[in-house]
Amino acid sequence: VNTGWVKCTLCPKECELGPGERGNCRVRVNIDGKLLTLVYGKPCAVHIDPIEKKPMFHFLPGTSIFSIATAGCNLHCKFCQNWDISQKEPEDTENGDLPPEKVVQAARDSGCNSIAYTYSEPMIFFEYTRDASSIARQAGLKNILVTAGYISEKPLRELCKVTDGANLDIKAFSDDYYRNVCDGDLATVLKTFEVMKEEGVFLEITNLIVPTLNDDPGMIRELCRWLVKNGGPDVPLHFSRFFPMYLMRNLYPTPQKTLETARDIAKEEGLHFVYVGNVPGVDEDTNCPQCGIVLISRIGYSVTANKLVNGHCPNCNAVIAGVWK
Amino acid sequence: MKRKTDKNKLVENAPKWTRRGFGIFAALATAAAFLWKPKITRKKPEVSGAVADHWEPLPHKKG
Repeated sequence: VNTGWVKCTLCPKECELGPGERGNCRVRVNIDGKLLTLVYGKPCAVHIDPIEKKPMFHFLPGTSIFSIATAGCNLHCKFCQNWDISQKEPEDTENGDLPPEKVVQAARDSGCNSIAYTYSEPMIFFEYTRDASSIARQAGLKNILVTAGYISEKPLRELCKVTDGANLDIKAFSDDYYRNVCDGDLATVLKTFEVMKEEGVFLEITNLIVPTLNDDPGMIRELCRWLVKNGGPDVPLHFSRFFPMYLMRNLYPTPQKTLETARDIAKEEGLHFVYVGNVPGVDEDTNCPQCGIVLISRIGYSVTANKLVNGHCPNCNAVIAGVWK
Repeated sequence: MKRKTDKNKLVENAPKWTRRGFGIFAALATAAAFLWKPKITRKKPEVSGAVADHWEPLPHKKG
């Protein structure tokens, strides 16, 4: 008996949708007993960015990356910095018509050798991301996900097959925080980290520090310990500065001191590559973890010097984790 | 020409139930004017899209 109901199994929310109903992500809808994605080939944002903006500091530094996004997200972070597209339905944004093969063509035409699925949440435009990534890979381009990692294991593994790198946003090392502020859960995101690592996706981590909510030094230490234990000391970690946005305009921007404290904690816990984001001029360089010399100098999103030689330190020949060519 | 009815005396001379009815009507109209908000009807485009992956029918689920 077909009742016309369907269950979306893309993310752990597993929305059960009656006829005409739309999922929590706002972009997957049940039409006549079939689940449709409303955003396939319809990006609402298309830009060419420096790859450092993602942020990816250990992945083809100094290059431009073709970046696309569609409306919608399956998390609803109260501090979302891109809420004007992520918390909207596709009908509320201005969308282009750019099927996967045209994404790849446009990336090549603009001289980019990688594509980022970013700004909102690439997991909810899963089919678009996967198909564009697949074509891009055949064309010799690399694919980057900038994601909160809230996805079920099966589609995640499928996506990892065509993904080269990811910036995974771990919003806090607290399940309460995920549930109360983001409408998600921590365990799924940690599982995503483990699966991506297992599938050979190069990972960088972002942690947006929101004053009074996730700036507890103990929580930051726990996050760093978990990263060292599960990803090793070479996982790059970006502590990012929060600015008042969306539903959290009552909070002040993250003080620089808080970010520096977080950086010190991460280094104490053994992480080799710790960066402070959204504060130009602070902790943007990559240093050799063995001899300490500056390997990559940055100002904002610009790389001003890159001394790496085939991914090695020119001074002590240490191997530096990353995708360098 | 002299009016047959003095308009100023219309309400005053009206029966009591009419005056009360007018008062109630006026009160309701005022309240409605403050409370009523037009329903914003946004015309949504026809929903169309590609068939997604990673979903399953729920044959036993009823609304």
